[in-house]
Amino acid sequence: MSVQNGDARVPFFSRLPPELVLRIFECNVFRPSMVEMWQVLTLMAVCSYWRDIAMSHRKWWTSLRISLNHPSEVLKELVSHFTQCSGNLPLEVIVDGIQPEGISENVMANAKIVIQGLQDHSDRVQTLLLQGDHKSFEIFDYVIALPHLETLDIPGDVFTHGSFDSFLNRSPCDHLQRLRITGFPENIKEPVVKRRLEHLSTLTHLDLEVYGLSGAFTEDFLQRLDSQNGQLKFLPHLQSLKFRRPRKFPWNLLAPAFQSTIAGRPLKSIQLYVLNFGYSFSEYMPDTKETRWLNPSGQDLKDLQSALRSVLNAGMVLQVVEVDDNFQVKRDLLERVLGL
Amino acid sequence: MVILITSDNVKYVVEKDVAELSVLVKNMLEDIGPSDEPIPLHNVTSTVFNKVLEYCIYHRNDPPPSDDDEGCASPLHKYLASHICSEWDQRFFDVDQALLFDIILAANYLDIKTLLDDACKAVAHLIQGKSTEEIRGIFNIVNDFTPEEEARVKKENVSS
Repeated sequence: MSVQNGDARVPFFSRLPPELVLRIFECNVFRPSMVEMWQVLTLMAVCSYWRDIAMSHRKWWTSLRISLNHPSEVLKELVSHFTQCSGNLPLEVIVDGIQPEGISENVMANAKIVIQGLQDHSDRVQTLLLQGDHKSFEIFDYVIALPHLETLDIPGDVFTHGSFDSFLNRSPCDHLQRLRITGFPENIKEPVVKRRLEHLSTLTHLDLEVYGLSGAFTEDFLQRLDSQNGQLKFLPHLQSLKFRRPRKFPWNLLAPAFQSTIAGRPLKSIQLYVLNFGYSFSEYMPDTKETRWLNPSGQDLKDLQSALRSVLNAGMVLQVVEVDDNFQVKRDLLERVLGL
Repeated sequence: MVILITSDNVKYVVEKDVAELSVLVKNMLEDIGPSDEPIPLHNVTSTVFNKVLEYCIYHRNDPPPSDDDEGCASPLHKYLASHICSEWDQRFFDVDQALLFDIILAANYLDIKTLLDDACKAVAHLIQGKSTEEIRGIFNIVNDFTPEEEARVKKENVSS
């Protein structure tokens, strides 16, 4: 599309009221994440009229993405800018702790600056996303109490690190509803993961990339969701569960997990993103606590198909898909199992 | 049929379904009831209204805009909505800046959401990917920052 310049001496933008200028801006910027933030700052640098309009639009300043590699002065400025311009709206804070070589000594110092900048606005932080490698987990030593935190997105090693314990002590996470954990290292202590999850009893949505955890973890987790005996102590408010990249998972535990919904658990959705169908087509035998491969042509399969169909007929959301390393869906495994 | 009169006293006889794409006109028609009384469009000249009418006739059978577009839509939905524009629309908005901004003002006054959105996208398209200096040049905007403000603005832009 090419709009002709016409008489370029006339500043046509000055004829538009602020709400129309803002509408144009919003066509370019729908969310001030990394790239779009650049656009917002470009727009703000054009003239004072545009700057006033951008700064008055509070929604743009509610998602604060902080790269700890920025110079400390810039970080102070950015945090101050966001906390001022966002007024009293809830904040989403994304801390990018990915460290290029050679500057790691600055990262924690910068983390302190960011946290201090948020000190007076801690009750507005509803979402915290921590991105980065294992070196950045110490940030939780600095994270202040976030009494209204609703969404937390962190790497698995941060979830199990000691500093997360002290964070939980300061910030009881009474409002935490959504937890997403990206990746566990191979040597992770699974009992610690279980204990932490038990602690977070208000969770409604859980998304775990469980590649570093054993198949037994998945089996145990699904078994604990099956509360046929009226036991609803484990994540009693869980509505949606997503497991990404489980080593294996027991197909026969899926339907019983949903049976707990009848007993009062609000679970409505289970999504499994697996890497390899053949590797995961197994069932768990509670008596022997072993997993065995499913026979694709036997009675076991018919029982499984029947159980899965009843879950789907009851209106539950069950998705089992094979994905590649980037979590792009390759094929629908549930459809395949039902069609065997 | 509905009779509309622009601010420069040009009379248009327009089919009702086309005229009612304007929420302003639709509300006025509901207020006055069945009547041959012409409806004045105080803030729109015939030059601009010709374009508005052309758009409304072409889009008369489009589904009405959803409320989702206002704020509930996902970022992806908004992104797609903000980037997809038909070839006809691209040709339609291939006009000089004066007329394009007049169309925005007219669409806002007449309350034609789709035209307003599409015209805003056409202007946004000119801004996209441009530097501050380039934007000032395209729209002839004067840099009115004080030296202190200018220094602060530059510092912010370094951070991005």
